[in-house]
Amino acid sequence: MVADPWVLILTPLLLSTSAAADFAEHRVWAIVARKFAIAASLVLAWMVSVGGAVQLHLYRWMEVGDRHIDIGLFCDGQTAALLVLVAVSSTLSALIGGGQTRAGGAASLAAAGAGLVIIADGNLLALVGLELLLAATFLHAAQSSPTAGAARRVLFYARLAALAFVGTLVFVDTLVVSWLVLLTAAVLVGAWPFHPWLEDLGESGTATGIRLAAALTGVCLLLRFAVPMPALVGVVLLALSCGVQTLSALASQDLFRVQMMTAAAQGSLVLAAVLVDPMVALLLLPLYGATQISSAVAQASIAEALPSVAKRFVDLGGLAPELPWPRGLALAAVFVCSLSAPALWAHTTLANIGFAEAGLPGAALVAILFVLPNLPLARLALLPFAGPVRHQTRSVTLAARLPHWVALTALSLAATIPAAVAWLAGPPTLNVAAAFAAGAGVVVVLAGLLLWRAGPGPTAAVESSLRSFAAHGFGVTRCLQACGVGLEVVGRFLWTALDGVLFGGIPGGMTLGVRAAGWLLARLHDGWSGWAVATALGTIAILLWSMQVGGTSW
Amino acid sequence: MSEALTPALILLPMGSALLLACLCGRIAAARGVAALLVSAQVLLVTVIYLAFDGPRLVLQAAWLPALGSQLLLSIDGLSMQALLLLTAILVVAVVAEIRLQEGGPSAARLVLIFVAITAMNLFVLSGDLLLSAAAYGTAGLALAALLGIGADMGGQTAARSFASWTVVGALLLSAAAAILAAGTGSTVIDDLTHITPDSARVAALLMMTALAMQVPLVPLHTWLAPIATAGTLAGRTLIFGGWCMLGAFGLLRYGLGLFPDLLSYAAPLPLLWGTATVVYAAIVAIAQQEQDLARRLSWATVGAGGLLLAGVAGLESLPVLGAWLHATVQGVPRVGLLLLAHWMATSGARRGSLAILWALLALGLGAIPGAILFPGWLLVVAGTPDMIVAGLLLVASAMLVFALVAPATHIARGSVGPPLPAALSRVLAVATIVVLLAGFYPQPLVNGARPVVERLLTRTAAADLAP
Repeated sequence: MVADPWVLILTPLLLSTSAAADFAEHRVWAIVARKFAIAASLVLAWMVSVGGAVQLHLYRWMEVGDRHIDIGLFCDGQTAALLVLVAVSSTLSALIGGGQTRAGGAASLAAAGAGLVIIADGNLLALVGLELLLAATFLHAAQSSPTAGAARRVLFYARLAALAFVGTLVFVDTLVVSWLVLLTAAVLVGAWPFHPWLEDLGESGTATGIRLAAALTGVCLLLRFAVPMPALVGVVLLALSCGVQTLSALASQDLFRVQMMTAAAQGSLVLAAVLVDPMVALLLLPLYGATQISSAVAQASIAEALPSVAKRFVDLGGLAPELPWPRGLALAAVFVCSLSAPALWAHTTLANIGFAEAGLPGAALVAILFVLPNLPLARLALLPFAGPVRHQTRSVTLAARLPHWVALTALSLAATIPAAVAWLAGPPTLNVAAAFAAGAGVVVVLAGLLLWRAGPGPTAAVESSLRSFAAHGFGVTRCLQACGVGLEVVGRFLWTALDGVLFGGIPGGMTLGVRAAGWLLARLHDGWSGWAVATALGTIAILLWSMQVGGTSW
Repeated sequence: MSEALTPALILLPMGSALLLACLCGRIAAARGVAALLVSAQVLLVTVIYLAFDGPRLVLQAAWLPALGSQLLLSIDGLSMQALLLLTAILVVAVVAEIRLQEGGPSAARLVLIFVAITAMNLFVLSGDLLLSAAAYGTAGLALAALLGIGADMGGQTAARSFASWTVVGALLLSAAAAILAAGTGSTVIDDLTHITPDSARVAALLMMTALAMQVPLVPLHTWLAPIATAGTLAGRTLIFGGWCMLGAFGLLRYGLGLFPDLLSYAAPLPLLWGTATVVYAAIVAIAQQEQDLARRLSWATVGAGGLLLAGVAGLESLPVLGAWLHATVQGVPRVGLLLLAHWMATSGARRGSLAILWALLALGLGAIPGAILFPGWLLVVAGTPDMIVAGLLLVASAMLVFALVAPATHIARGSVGPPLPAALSRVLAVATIVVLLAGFYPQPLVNGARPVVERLLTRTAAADLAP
């Protein structure tokens, strides 16, 4: 069976229809169109799996001399999987969105753009889809971002992504193309230092939908358009990005910021996986997407229950009895991310490659990289719900409480079964990573249980973790909390030191550069110190020049 | 049929101006007559476009025998596209005058609109350099008068400044024609192509200066920013949409057509000049206040001029063709943005729908893929042989897009002001649709301009081969 061109274009078309319906405030039609988009993407996936890949040439866009650019569509297994993910994520994120119809329209438009990128055969149509996605992103930011400055930052990163990808049409047949595609993908997933737009887009469900569509687009672009490049450099850069963002997430007190930094770290990991093994990236995408949606739901529930409380770790605690399902969802996301069978399969495959390349340290490094982003996620899933209550709850109705034994069984199954499957099914070299992942999972599960057992504490508000620790003495739970406090203190110190330089991304770096330039200029007009700075700069310049002339190096 | 009808492109607007002048200020009648005459002009251009099947000489008569100048009109692919755009801009200018001008329309301004269009059509069709200089001066002075009549003090100052620049430009072009006539005994463009480079250098410099003022290029751009914010709406529309495009036309027809060897000789200076203009315009555009939409737009116009020169300086078919395509079609989104900026500035309106409209037109002007400007932009940047220059053009273009779109964040924050007037919303809707969708099939534009560009470049190749 051969896929019809209309079936190829149907999903983006339906998502565009959904956007139009949202903009026209016909919510029901928008929902129906989104559901049909999922159906269309599934039908296409089935047709491709039965009939094989499809490539359709639509028309010749432009022909000048011996150069020509064509417009066409393409769909294979990877494409179909990505298209299904776009349609599903668009629908799920709309469920979190509530009644924001125009913002919902922007999210559907972004998903339509992502769909167009995915089915595009060639840079030009992909660029059109990317521009649609970026325009929708900016539109959402212009209307929903907390400040005009935030919207402007989103625009900056949107234009940066477009600039990088349009460069692939300008510098055709050069190695620059791969780096430009990597840059585009890095901006779209929010890899450091291109991450600030993730936060600036806002906390709504529609913003989550746009972020997911952008991440899927970034992965798709890297999968489809990057010609072979030195993967090691890209992988190292993305691994560094993951490390910086995990550190940032661990250091932050703000729940939303933690979620965004984790999303960016996960995005970096997926991009790194694309460079090594695309199949692994495709497995990780739905896992990480589900994690982000779960976290967004949990945070939306907290915001709904406590509208006047700042969503910071120091201000939240003991929410488990009131929000058992959001807590369960957030915890499930952590387990899915670290211990589900696809996660273990993906992690062990990469660990295997790491083992083959660099022995045991390579495998361990890969395993650590994949466990790291789960720590801030576990923090998000545990801390607001465990420990003493630190606020006066303003929710009217409480969600049903989950029985302990059900939760315990679910957690145990989630932790042990996938680990066992990975252990038994994998080749011997996989066992190291599987053991590592299973061990990390057990630690997370135990931590969760210990914190859970502490249950709801006294209703009096407690100002900080440290005070709570001092008031209740020692114990296993308290020891864990003490570790948390220590981690928090170190993280906060690092945060204060590095914020605005590293975590501020490009704007932070630019601000620092401008300030440093201003300081230097001020010194150069400031008596003896000015002379000292000028002399120092002159000496450095002469040294650099002499090294260049003499052919020496550092 | 196109040969027979083409002179009507001069006669119809000229007759329209005379007819409107004869109405002696009866504004209601003038409004109706102007609408009818514009419809006739649109019909005429459409018929000529449909009947056009290649370059034609349409009129030849003696004019100034002492200088060897002739009344010579010809039409080719470039002039056909320029005429189409001028007609579209004429429609918008008349709508702006009749429906959007504060204080209502004026019969004098309607007359001046048609006078300016007559002169601009003549500039496009002329095959004689002195005739082109005369058309340049007439169009410039008519536009200056149109800009200043009924405008406030700022508008009158801007109009005076524009008039000074156009007089200087016309004198420079005339001087260039006189110098060339002294050398060859003719000012007909086809005769001038055989001139020796040595005797043409001064003339080329004068002509280049005049056209750089019209495009405009840094540092000959200072007349543009005051016009962006002051003067009558019809005058601004014609200057931003038509006058600057004529500069691009002149640069190809006279710069590349007459002095390809000098362009090669001066390389890479023209390329660097164009690139420096784009980069400078991008930086200054971002530095403008976000609320000052018109000034940002004026710097985007300067940047487009720089891109044009960078393309023409490439002296190969891809960048030159791209430069022409980019310069021709950008009049539509630019005029749309100008009208929207003017209306928002005067009414104080801000809301989400306006922000969307602004962002869409700005993205169109910024040559996003799919938009009508993208093919030309791509050909210029991808055709630039130097990777560093191509990278600079790429980054500067992205900065210009950012500078144009960023004000949408400000426009979206609020919901104040009256609704968009029906006439303006129709004009903007048509402009947005044309700008955003026409880029999906650019081949007709390419086919129309390519033979002329290749003919111009054949002269370049011949000049390169000459000892």
